[in-house]
Amino acid sequence: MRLLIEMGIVFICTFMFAITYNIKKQKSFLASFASVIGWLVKHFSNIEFKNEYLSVFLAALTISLVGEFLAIKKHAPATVFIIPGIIPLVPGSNMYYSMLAVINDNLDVATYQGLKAIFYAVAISCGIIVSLSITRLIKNGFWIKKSN
Amino acid sequence: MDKIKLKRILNLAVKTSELLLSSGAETYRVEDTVRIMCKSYDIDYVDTFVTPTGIFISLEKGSEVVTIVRRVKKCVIDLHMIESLNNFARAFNKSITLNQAENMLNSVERTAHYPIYIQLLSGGISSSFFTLLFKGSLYDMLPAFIIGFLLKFYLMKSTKMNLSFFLVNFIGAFFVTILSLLFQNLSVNISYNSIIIACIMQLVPGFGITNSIRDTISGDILSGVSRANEAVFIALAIALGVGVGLVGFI
Repeated sequence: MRLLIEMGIVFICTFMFAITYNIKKQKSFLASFASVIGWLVKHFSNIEFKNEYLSVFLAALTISLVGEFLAIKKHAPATVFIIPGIIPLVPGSNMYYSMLAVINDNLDVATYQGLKAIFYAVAISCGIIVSLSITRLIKNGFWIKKSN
Repeated sequence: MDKIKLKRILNLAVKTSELLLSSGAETYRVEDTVRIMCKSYDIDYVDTFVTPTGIFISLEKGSEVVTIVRRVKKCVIDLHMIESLNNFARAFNKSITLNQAENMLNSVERTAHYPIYIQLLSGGISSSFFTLLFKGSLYDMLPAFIIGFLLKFYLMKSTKMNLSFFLVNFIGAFFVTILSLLFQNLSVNISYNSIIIACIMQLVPGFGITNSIRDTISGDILSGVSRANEAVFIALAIALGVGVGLVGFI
């Protein structure tokens, strides 16, 4: 039940973000769809591997791959789907708690949360890098050469 | 082909790339677009160098060479504009005359945005629902909606003012923090943590991170590094804004 509610929230948030970035309705809907898939991947891989960074990486990878796929299908730049899609993964809360801890002079928590924020960002980046590399490989005719 | 026609093509290309860059496109997309547009007009040699803040385009046809340098300052994220310009450049072929192309570009430039109230409401609604994602209660939704609404209004106004991006994010985060603390004083049910986090999600540099990575992987190392640098400074500005607000008013 909790997961279903979270999926709904993620969907609404991404949809609204897509509208603030001036994406038209149909594509906003698809971007939110990509984001919900990413959230599901994050949830289940967190249960499976019990590692937050890996699950964020897998979620970002999924969102970017779905985004690239939709980009080819809908003849739109992939960023239209990826940028709103990864917004729920961005570690805004860790950044905030790190700052809060700095103010309370609680440097242990500050370092912990700050590093967490950095590693989440790195995980998201790696997800996008891997998916982009895969799509480049396919677009440059890697599969065609192999089948010949 | 005479020099005047070459210059018109160059102007068309530079206008397209300027619009793309100022709506937040990746630099490799801008370069590809220019190349596709110019190649469809049988230009012998096209070379472009685009950074997040400037455009250099050089065209060569026969003995004529024209070059243009354009500085791009403002950047307002508009993904629909990128999409329509992308399609505009890829629909290019020799049968489209220069006049038609200029008209098409003008009509793309004027494509409708969402009405202002929808943009403001979407900012508010996204903030109010983000509170639930960050362990907030239902009581936090209304304050977050109001603050997100005001923040979106401020962000829309700030693009017209000549503020640096650091100051925009600093002031935004600062006011979010102060307003959240004010709302907490109104009711014991409201916790300011989740409200602040939900509202600063509108400021966090998710866009910058994505674009910087896509640029770096595409080989535009310079753009990648500068965009990543910008993202780091935006994060610092937000942290500073939140920090100053919390220290001053907690």
